[in-house]
Amino acid sequence: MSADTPSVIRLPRDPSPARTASPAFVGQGPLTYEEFTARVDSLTARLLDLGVRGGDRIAIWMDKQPRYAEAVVAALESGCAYVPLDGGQPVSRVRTILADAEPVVLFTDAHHLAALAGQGLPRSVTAVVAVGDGLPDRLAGVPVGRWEAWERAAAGRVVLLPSLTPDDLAAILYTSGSTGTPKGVRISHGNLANFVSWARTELDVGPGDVFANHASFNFDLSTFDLFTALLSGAAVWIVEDARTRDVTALAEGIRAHGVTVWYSVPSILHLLTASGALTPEHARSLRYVLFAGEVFPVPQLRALHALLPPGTPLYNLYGPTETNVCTYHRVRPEDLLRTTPVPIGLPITGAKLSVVDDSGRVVDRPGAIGELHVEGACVTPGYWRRSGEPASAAHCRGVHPTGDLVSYEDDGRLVYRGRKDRMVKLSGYRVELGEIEAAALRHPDITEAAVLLEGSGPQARLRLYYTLREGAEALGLVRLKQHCAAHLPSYMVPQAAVRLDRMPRNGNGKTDYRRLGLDAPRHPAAPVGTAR
Amino acid sequence: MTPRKLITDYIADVWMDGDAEGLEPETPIAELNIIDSAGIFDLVHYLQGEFRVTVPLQEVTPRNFRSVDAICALVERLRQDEGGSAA
Repeated sequence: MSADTPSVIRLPRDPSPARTASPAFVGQGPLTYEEFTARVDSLTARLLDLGVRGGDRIAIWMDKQPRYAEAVVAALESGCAYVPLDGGQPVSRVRTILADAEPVVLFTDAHHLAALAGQGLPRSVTAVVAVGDGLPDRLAGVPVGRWEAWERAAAGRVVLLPSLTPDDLAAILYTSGSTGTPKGVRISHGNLANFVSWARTELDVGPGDVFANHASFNFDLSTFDLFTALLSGAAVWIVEDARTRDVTALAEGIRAHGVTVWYSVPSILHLLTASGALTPEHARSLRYVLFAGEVFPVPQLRALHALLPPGTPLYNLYGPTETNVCTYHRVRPEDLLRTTPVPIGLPITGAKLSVVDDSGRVVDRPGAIGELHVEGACVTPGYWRRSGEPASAAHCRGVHPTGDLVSYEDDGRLVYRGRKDRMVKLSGYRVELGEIEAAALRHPDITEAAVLLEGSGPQARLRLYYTLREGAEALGLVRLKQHCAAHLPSYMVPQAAVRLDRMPRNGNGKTDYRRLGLDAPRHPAAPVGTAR
Repeated sequence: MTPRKLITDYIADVWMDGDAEGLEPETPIAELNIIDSAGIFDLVHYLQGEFRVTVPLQEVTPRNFRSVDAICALVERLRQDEGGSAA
């Protein structure tokens, strides 16, 4: 394979001065490629000194910063898999994940280590490396190394890197499991390399580009930011945890760092545009804007498009963690006039897609809805230590049933039609809650929408949770119903509606359906009526 | 309180979380999924108790329950048939 089509993720070693002096990280703690590579090599040398072996796990739990990326790349260089944990995750969840992943080394910082100190460390951990002040020498009998000193001790050493194959485990990304226990998705070097190769073919990126890393490192979006950038010689701006929802800081960061490539969930892009924080002046350096993870309502996409430099490509990427990205769609001018969401598009290189109906038959007729099944190089090798589960069994056959419903458009592009497991039946009718949400979002004043079926049997009611654009007039239930009834059969018109100040979101920025109706802050002017 | 107001408020309370804003006498109840077919029978039960009428099953039709006005007309007709009047 050529250098442009790697089969594994390896930090490129380009000794040319132009490359070594170019920025690898901008923003907090900027680093050139020379500095970053030297740090990675030192960490790698120390990991190999500890006797780590291929497939061992290296956990990272700290705030987002270039050190985080050092640990990620050093884990890969030493033949290990990285287990990224979001700095904002509760310690109880982190403990559950650490107990499951059994890492041999933990990279962290002082305040996260202090949070773990109360109940010691999982027995698998043989070394801790941490940044910050006030670190203990040992924790629960495990030596705690100071990051800088650890690196210094191996500075300049020539490291003999272990060989890697595409099947080697590169990462375990934990997602929420349907049972409530986080579930580790195993990602191979081949999975990551396939995606990066596609991205580098599709996007003309290289030295001089600046990628924003908005997503948490435990979210698969971050693999694009980090690996596409580093394998292309581009720079990365790691958005600090505290700023990921601070629209002013984000817009200012885009401008100040001259971000050329942005990739995030649509809701963040919508926040940036709807708030007025992102102006054409802030956005002028952007060359590519990519989004994934949820449906981007077309009116919101149009508002974003209007702010970007003319002709800036917009990409809708799609794929569950189990396939990373498996389809893509470059937004066409006519897509901005759609009344339905933009397609998820066509398969990326190495992905084979099929649409399967309820009886297991492949359907390819435009408009026919079925579950998307994915095969090929993007499909990850299954879940960590859950080989008994049906989804893992399917994975062993190399197929990932996504649980997402899709259909083909006339031109062969796929459109997302909702979640299979959010399909409900009402009076015998098959109802996709996503379709009701899409209909609600066609209202010009509704910015976000989520629908739940609450109760069961004859008491079951469709309840719409929604937010309104700032300054919009309150919508009574009847007006909402009239709007929905204009797009939906009557049985799909929500029976109840709750206006929220903001939609509850999980750590990855997606709508958190479980919190809807529980602790979601309701607007004080939520439906008022003439109750007796 | 007029039958129209009583019925409107009852529908708002039971099926609309009390939000009757925009619920007009001619608002199409079924089209807007305000009361589903099972709910109509709860409404019939209410009408029989509140207005002391008997609603025969054959009168429980989409047409008679298409709007608040249609329901009022049904109640009025039944009361007259039974020798009373909707005050």
